[in-house]
Amino acid sequence: MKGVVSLSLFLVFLVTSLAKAEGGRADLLLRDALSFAGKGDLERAEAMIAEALREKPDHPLCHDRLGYILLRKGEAEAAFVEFTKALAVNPRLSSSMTGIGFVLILRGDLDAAERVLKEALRLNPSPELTLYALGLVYEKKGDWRSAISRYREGLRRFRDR
Amino acid sequence: MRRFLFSCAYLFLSAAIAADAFALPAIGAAPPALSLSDIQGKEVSLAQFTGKKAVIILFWATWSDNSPKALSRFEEFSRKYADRGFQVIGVNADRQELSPEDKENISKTLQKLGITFPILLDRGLQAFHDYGVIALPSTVVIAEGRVAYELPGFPLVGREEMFDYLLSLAGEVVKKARKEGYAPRYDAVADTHLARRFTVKGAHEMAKSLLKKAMEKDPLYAEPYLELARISVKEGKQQEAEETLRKGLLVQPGSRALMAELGYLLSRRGKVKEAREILGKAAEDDSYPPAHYYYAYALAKDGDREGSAALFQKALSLNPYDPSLHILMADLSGETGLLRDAASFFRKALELFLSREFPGIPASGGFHP
Repeated sequence: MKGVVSLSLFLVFLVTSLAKAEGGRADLLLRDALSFAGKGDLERAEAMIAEALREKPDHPLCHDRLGYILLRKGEAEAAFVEFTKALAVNPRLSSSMTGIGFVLILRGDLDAAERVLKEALRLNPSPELTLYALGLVYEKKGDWRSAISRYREGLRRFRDR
Repeated sequence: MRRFLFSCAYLFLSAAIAADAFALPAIGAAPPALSLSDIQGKEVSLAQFTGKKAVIILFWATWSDNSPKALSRFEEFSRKYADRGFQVIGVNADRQELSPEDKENISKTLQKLGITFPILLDRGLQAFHDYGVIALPSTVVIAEGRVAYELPGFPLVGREEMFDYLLSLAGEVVKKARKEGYAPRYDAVADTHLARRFTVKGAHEMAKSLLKKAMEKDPLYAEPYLELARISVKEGKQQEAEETLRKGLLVQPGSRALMAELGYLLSRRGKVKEAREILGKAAEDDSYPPAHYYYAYALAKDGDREGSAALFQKALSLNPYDPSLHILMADLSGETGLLRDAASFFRKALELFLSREFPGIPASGGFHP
């Protein structure tokens, strides 16, 4: 009986360790991918995140960052899919909501973009990018005052850091 | 309502301008790490030039008027002095993300000028921000592992002084004796940097105490005065800031930064006549680019819209990546009721901040109204 318990504990430990190792490698790949993305090497960044997602398919941050890379490449609809996948794992990931907001702006659906960005703003304590996106929505709607107010708020947050 | 909106923008602007304009790189400090790909994709890092007598980093852009002159001049210098331990590196800061057309344009420029020293591509403008570049072109000379000389812009007098410095470093006898360059005491620089960190965290008293120490250690060092004035502005004590900047000018009467910040403060305080006079002097060369847009602001306040527009254009040609410049244009647009323009300038300023953390995101196509 004691042996069975030990074996079970060992198996639990093994499975947990493997899961952690998987996540760890995915995190490392993501970190390196972001460094390449920062230098503008989007192809390499995309390939590394794809590899990270093979290691850990439900890594919300990988989906989120892949979404932004696709957005930068002009592949808005593919980006939308990645943001949606990220939100399926973590519905409170405001960064992905903001990403969806950007896609909606590109689609011209400004009211939907405004709604999703306001929700992202509610969830995120440091939302400069969301404020920027919301400013874009108001600017596109011709509501200059609201746009200015959002942009200024974003700038103020940078200043207060 | 509109008046209220823009008086808020104005208050915000006051501090934002000061915060950005005071972020100058320091002589005597260790240079930030630099590792970028060259135009062929080969990684080049600053570390691989350890042991050189001096490494000269030239930040430049194809769209900048003075960059070809600077590149050609350094090519000539490099050909002559590379074997005496001088390494010139060009860092291209054309834009945040380089398209294949941009790269082709860069290659063509280099070919046309016959540039042979390494040219690195600053994708994401990381090095540009790390080195606190405030104008293009800008030169940073690193000797004995420290930042030894900096030249924002490529002003006529400043550039000759810099080449005199480089020639004397190479052991040449320079025709005109170089004015002994002032280098602040390292511990005063360190105190000022630490104070800046405290300021950012809101620990103003700690910062002030460090700045006063820095002033005692090196009474000729202008930076602590600038930083102290910045804190006063943050605290809403504009009179105190003005007095600090005036004191700074007593010890460093030639400091373009002190002149410019004082001039800007004066124009904000309604002392436009004195502001114009000081800013005119501060903007005589390109060594402190904010002087141009502060002067533009003062001129606009004085009703000289044409002069103001020309100076804003000049400031943009020196450093289009300075958010404070765009904030100032937004503020002026707002004050004259041009809300659409104000929104667009504020957007641009926010994009410039965001691009440091989310490279490429805001600049992606299709978002702009």
